Amino acid sequence: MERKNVRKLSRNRKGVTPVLSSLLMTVIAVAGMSIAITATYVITDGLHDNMGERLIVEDVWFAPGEVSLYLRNVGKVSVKVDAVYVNRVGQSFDALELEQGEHGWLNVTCSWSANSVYEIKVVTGRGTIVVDYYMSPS
Amino acid sequence: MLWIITCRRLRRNRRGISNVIVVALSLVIILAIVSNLVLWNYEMNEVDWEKMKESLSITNVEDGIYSSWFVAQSEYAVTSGSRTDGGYTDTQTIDSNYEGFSEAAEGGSGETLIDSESFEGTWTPEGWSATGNWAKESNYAHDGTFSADFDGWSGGASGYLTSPSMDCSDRDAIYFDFWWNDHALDDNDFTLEYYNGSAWNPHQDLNQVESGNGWHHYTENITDSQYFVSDFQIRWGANNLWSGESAQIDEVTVTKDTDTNSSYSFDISGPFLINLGAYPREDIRTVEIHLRFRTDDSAENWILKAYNWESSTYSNIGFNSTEGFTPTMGWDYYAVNLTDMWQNYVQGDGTIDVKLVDEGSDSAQTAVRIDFLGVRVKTYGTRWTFKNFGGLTVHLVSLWITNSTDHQRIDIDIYMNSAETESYRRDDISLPRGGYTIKVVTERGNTAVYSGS
Repeated sequence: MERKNVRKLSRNRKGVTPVLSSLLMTVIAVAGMSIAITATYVITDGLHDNMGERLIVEDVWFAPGEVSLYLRNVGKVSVKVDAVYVNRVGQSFDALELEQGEHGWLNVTCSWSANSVYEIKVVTGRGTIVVDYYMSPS
Repeated sequence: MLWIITCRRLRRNRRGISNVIVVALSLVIILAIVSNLVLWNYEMNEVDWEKMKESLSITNVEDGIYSSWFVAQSEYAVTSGSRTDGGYTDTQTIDSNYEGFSEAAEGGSGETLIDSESFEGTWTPEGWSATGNWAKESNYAHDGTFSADFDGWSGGASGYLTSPSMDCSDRDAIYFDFWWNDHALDDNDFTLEYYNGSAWNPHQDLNQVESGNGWHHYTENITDSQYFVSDFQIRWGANNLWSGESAQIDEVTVTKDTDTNSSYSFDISGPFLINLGAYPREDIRTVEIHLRFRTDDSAENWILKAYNWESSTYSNIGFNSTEGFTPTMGWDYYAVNLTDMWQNYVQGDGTIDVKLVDEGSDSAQTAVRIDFLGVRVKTYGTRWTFKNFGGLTVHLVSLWITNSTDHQRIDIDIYMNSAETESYRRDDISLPRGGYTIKVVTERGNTAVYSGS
């Protein structure tokens, strides 16, 4: 039966173009919409995680040669600390990743002076910034 | 209308329908994804909104946990001075009731007229007289073996115990002190009368001075001049005592004074029992004594002491303050802390014997009113008090104690309803010396701060 239809088509080619054009349009439509859906998903997924990030600094401890920040993830997604800036200068730190509700010390290697104000900025992998001023002890 | 026309066209020409379906389905999926994001945004806004509505504060931080007050459970022993008002129960709470005392004269030409008569010898003692059922008996005694005892009987019994006649002429004060026992007595059953040389004057209904079974200490500084006569007498009247009712007298002391070259002093003491069952010795950091009192002389210094069981003396060595307190003539608070020397002052059963004295005798006779005298212990540990001022329930998750050298974090798990005040106590944590900061963190990420020193 199938062979019969193929033979019919090969003998009579009058209906081929509309079929091919319809098929092509369908493929284009499916491909286009797939790209649109994927792009929407990727973009919104990133926004979704960005919007769900909440991070607080519970405590800052100026210890010799380092500044330790106690962070708590109060958001709805996990948080990974990507960068720490002290007075807008990037500092090295021990890697810290906090799941939802977790908390822990973020040890930043940094020299500091007594009785000085420091702007400490913590940046997460998704770009959330937690920044505040802290006074070092005397 | 447009929708109907479009549908009809689609029915006639079905070539583009698959593309329309693909696009429509895709748009639905995109809409679902975007809706999810919008809803998520709403949820996170809700989280932020709730965080903004949280309002929490640390209202108090106590370094060490204080016990409730341990107050006097018996009448104070008056070594120097006399009781003028009230009783020891008036010193148990801070209120408008007080126990009044007056300084006693010492020096000058003082003379003892009856020296702690405890009825141990011949009945009646020399110079004494008794009527009715008064007798020397051993079933009750405050000192020694015997006391003067009056037993009631069915139908009622009455009688007087009368002191010797005492020459109190040319005197300015008669100091009178005795112990009496109440055994089922009612008002007017047991009275005290003074003789002014011509008549007996009713003076006190003893059951109204002190009520309740047991021994009571009566002291008085008699300054009414009608009794400064050559034949002053005291008598105790038992009035219509029935079977089962009895009264006893013991340790009667009468002295007389003139204020010529005399000076006045004050000295009272009393035991306070610390409940070591509730506050074991190993948990006690220190002991505090608090006094609320009023005097009519602001030129005199007053000192709280306690009996030191190591040195067997009343002392204030080791107290945080040993210089005493000079009152203002209003109601004053005077408190001392026994520091880590408290162990020397608290006996094994928890008894601490507290004494209030004036620093030295002076020429003015001072009236002392004690509204409150109590002892409390301070244990190791810390108590925080939080107040939720917000409209939402808060979950406290983290507590910080920080100072310049240490940052201590404690995991806590406290839920507080709206407008609720909550106390949190930890016996294993002590606050650092010097300045410190307390922080409490909520699950939503808010922080309340308290500074102390």
